[in-house]
Amino acid sequence: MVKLFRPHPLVVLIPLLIAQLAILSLQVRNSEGTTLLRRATLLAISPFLLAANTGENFVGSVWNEYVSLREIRNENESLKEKIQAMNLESNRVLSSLRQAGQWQALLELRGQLSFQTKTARIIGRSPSFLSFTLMVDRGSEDGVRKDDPVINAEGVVGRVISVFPRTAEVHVILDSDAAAGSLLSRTHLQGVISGTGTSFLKLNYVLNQEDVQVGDKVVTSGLDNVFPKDLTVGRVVRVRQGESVFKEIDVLPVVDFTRLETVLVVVNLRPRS
Amino acid sequence: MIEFLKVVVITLVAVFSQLLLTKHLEYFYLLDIPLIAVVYFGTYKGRIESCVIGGVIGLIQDSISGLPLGMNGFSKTLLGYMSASASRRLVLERFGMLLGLMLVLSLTDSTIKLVLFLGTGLTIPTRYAMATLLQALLSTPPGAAAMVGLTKLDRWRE
Repeated sequence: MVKLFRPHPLVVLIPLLIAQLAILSLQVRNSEGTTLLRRATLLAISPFLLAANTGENFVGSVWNEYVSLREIRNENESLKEKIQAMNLESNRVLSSLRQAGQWQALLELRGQLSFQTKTARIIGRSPSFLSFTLMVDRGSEDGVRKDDPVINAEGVVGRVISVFPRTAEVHVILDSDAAAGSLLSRTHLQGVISGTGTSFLKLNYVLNQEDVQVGDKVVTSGLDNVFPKDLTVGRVVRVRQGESVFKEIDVLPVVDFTRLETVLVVVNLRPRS
Repeated sequence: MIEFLKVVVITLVAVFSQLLLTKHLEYFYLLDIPLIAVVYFGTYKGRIESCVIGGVIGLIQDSISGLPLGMNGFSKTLLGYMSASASRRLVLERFGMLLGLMLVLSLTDSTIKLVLFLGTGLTIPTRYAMATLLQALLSTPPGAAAMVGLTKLDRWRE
């Protein structure tokens, strides 16, 4: 006996119900004139449409953000380059101004000084913190000799320790081996100023009982036969009673060694003709 | 063949008696005779035949009642399936059980039609909403009685 194929009732029921709804939808229109079938179809696919739209928006948004970020990054790099160029230009201008200022001050000082000097440009600095030396663009061909004092408009810079035909090496007063005969301009007390290897100087050989005050100006005494008399060295910033007979006096140099670019080399202490 | 004719005759009688009775006596619209026929076929036929017959009866009912085609079609298709499923599990020899089934299916019919009205966005006249619920309640006792009568007729015929 042949058994006829009999589908599950739901297989018949569901298509029948859908067919009835389809028939119904073909006739029924809502107030906007849309049929139920279209409404149902739209209702069914709208989540997918929404998801697709959201996805598209998301991808679009990410892409736009990416493009924007790239543009911003390029712009940022371009701006950075411009800023660097402007900084360089600004530094160059400031440097020129500062140099011009220093040159002007030196020329003024030169006019006031009674001895012969040569203006020199600093062309190198010692890379080590242990030795404070400078290289200047004046040498023996310019009349520079060993032990010539080096000054600027503010005061004492150092002395020449090595001379080459076109250059010279200057021992800065800050170096722990550097020293100069000095005196306190207020009291005319004499001493020896020496470097400490730091940014401060030390005034030695001033007796404990002497009157030294913070702010006192220290100038060269001219007794060392190196530096001319009355060149400013610095100002007293700290005074202590020493354990020996001498005071411990800290002096802050007037010369700003970090910004030093031009100096005067005193080539002859004799008065100019 | 006889069974097919029986289905056709009962269907036509149910649908057109509803039409004619309502034409002469307005309040007969409160009696859903096609629903009784659908439930009756469901009590002794399989689920597939029942939902197909229900669907056809519903479509005919829609075509003559002025309702959107498919409204009763959808409802009666589902009711045919439900009545056939219920008859497989329930003992419908007892009048009380038959009455209960009839009530549940009538209310289901009314509910489906109201839902379809809402779903299609059509405005439901309050009168119709009340009437369809009343129809469910009023169709139950005569429906159950008619089914008992039809069942007895079948047995007598056999």
